[in-house]
Amino acid sequence: MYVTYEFWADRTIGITAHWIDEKFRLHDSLLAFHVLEGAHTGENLSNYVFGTLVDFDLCDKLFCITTDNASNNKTMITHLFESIYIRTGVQHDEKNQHIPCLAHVINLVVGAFLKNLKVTAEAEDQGEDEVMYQRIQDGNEKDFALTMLKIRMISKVLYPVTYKCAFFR
Amino acid sequence: MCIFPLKEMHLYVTSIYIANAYQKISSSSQRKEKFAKACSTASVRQLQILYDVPTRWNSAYTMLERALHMRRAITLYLTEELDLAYLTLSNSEWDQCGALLTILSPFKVESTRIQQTERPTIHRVYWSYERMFNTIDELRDDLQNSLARGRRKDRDWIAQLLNAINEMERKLKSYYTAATQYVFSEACLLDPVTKTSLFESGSFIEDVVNWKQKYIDAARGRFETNYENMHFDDMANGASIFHAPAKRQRNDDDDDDDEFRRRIIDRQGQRLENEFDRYMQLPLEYDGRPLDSWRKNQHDFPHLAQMFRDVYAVPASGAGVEREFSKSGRVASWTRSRLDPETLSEIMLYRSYLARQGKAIEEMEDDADGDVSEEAEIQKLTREFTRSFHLLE
Repeated sequence: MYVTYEFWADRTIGITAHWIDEKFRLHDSLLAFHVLEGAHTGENLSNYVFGTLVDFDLCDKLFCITTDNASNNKTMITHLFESIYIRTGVQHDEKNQHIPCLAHVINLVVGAFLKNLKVTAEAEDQGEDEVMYQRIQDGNEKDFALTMLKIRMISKVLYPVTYKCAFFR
Repeated sequence: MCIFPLKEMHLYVTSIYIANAYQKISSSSQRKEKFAKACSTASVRQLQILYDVPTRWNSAYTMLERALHMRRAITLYLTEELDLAYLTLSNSEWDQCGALLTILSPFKVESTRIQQTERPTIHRVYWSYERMFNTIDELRDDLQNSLARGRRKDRDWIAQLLNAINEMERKLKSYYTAATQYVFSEACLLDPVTKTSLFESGSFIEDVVNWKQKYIDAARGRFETNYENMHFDDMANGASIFHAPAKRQRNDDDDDDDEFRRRIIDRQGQRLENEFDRYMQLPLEYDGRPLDSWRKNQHDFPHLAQMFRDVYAVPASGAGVEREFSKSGRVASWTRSRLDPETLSEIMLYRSYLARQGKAIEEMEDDADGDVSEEAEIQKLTREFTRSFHLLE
């Protein structure tokens, strides 16, 4: 039995379970989908996760847990494993049973690449068209930033509404 | 007779631009029409020019891919929209797009591969890292070549790319060194097609640490402590051919000549005692998905199969949950902005139940109040579902 857990910036957490049955079929299932109340501290988050595990009686069946690399998830794991230990006496090893999400890792690596080139769509790209126009006219951006900015502007001119939706989604 | 020679015309247009340095760019249906026309002239299907979102995975890739796909249409369109002329991309800028796309695409492939939830992904993690490091090496070589040979004006941005790639490698390394969780290596070993082959490849061999032996020992250790002495309740039904290995017969009056023979038998005996070692001794399978081949092998390695079930259930990414979030976006749309958080979470659970079971929960005999709202109905049903939900039946 295996549980993934994900915390989303928009005050929601989702928890899914994954397991392989006797016939060697892979299953996954949504266990909980909470809208968070209170601060997003690791402790607070772990209460949600632990509560879900208790609801489904999975405390002693947990094998690993996958999260993204946010720092509050580390404290979350510490607290969660502690609570499980107190309840069931099963000890988990933080170093081995907390799996970082590889898709997040790849994304962060690519992000590091894009940031280094300064081509990520930053908040300032949201600025007034006039500012963008000046930036392109002056051309004192790094090459790549300028290129990307142009494509973004074309997109913005042609599809103003979807561009806004896409940004805030 | 020509009133406006072409050259002057051009000057005239530019001067307007200098005069009112900036006109507010407005979007209009005319613009879209013109774009559609440009698309059909360039014989490209009219697709939306995408905008990247930093929080969305691979969005820079999709944006560039789409832009390059529409390149001819975009160029054509911009020649017609005079007030957008400053957005025209030069050839060198298109080259930059192409270069970026080439660099991003292997990562996009890896990330898509790891995000699937239908099949196990955990055994691909180390392969994925390996491939990404190889990709980075190849890209760097290519870039260094073109830096040496390329045109001078391109050298600037190629150098930028090189710099950024080094940054990327540094970051990847930092994650890779932290990825020491035993499930990753165990999953590789438990894949009957690969087993140790990855740890025998270049980068693992060159390292001072004997990773192959280390991983095998670690996995064996965990198997012995956690799984070897497991008892199966369902073993009694006779379906499996699980029985204790025959004890070796050892007679004191054995001939010394037979020492060699005995040693071999001894070793075989040891092998037979440990499922893990017996499994590692088997030749690699040619193909087959891990799940399928373990379904076949489970009777030969009943304990190791349990370990397999645990390890392979671990997905390498949180993509499953990410997908639930996307679904929730459709449930809690802006037209339902006052949706109660509680209701939202219950709707989500019920949706997941529907997807899994393919049918609705039987309605309970409870017709006391006829007109319950749809959401109250769902709440009731999900409560029922949570109660009756046994993950391990």
